[in-house]
Amino acid sequence: MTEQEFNQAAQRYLDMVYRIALNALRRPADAEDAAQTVMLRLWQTQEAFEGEDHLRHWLVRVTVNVCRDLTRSAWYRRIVPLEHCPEPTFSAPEEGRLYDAVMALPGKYRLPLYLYYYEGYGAAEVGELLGVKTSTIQTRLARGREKLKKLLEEA
Amino acid sequence: MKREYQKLFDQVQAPQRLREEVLQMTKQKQTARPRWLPKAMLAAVLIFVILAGTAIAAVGMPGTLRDWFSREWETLSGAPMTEEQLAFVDALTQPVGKSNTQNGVEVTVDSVTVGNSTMWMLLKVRGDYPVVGETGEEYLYHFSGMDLLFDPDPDQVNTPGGYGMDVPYVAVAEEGVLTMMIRFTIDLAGQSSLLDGSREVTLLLNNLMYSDRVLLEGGWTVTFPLEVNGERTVKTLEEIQVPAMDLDTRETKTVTLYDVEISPTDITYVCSAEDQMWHPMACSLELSDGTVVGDSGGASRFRDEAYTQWSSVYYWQVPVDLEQVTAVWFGKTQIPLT
Repeated sequence: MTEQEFNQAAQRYLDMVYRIALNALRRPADAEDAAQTVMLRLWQTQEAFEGEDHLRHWLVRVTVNVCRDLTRSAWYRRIVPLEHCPEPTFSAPEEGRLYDAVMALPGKYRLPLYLYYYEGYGAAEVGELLGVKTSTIQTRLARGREKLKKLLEEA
Repeated sequence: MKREYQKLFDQVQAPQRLREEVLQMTKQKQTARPRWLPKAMLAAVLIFVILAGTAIAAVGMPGTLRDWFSREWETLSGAPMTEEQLAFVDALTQPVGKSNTQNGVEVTVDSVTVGNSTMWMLLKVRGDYPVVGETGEEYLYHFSGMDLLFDPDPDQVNTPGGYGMDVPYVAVAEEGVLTMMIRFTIDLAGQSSLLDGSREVTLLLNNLMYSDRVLLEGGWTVTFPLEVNGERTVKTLEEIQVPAMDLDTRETKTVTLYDVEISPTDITYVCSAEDQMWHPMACSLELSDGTVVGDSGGASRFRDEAYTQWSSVYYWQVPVDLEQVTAVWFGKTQIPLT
């Protein structure tokens, strides 16, 4: 990948990588670390991307794996969270409250919901990306949707 | 619902600082592996230093690695470090005295203490940087990025993770010299050691910070020789059973650890990939005089590219003479070593 291609990819996909990491890890500081790792791997990869879809799919998959590695690491398990990276800000206060509620959902619902609702992947694709059976993803999406619907009504 | 959800996440964007860091990646050496201090790890370090603040005030400000380890020893044992223990720390410690100056600020690697997988580096920062903040809040000084490269590289494993850098101690001397301890540990998966042979070490530091404020922009590169004699002292245990906990569910069970290597500075071990969610209870060493030296942090990675062996390294609070060690503990389980 040339420097120009990398910079274009970073401009296009860094937000996506960061959002996925945020949904997976919850803490902005961890999400930044994960996003940085993913983008470094992109810069260092020898993979020949066949097109935008291939590149995007590769980034989603690597982000999920990097986040999984991070949550399994001894460091991650032992650290005490001290939030000093700012949380995302929103134009309306109710959106901020909604965001807090969404991020308070259990992690097993957050990431499938994000990939399904925001990135537009189907349940089978989400299952493949997360290494979980499609039927399990469908159950998590249904339960996550239910919880999210309540949150939206309350917000 | 979908529209509202999308509208919400439309507003979540990567911070500008992260964007800038990512776009700078292409300017760095492509072969260099990132060892930038993870922000969450820094948070843990900040808490550690806050908790240690009382001890800093009580016994004075360490200006050498020997002083720092002495203070740590006194905190954990309640007694001054013995002459034998001081001599042991001295044997692992070597003077460096290499510097780099950028924008009127000189960063010197004063000295290092090096062991199997862990290295403590004492830094002195002198020059034209603003001294800010309150006394007792020196821990807020840090660098926005830290990286450490070895030549030759001891890391023979091609799996991600397995290393960490943290800053367990920061102080400002009366003459305005910032003294900073940087600790580096890497899981070398039992295949090599930092003590295997002499190397050239390059420490890369970016932007001097105080909390989230940039005090001085710049990039400091300090290269220094790491001279070791190739001797590597370890106690090995082929296979042990230890208590472990799934930190999500708080369930406990016994797991098997393989290829356990206990060195004066750290411990490494392996468990199966299936057991990686089971976290062995806190590990410590019991010494013949009753002192207990705990582990203080570490890193994990897969030891093999087939991702079947989950490998971990944890460093001790202070280097320990293995001849004085009588047992290793995991939680309440004692494993005699004599």
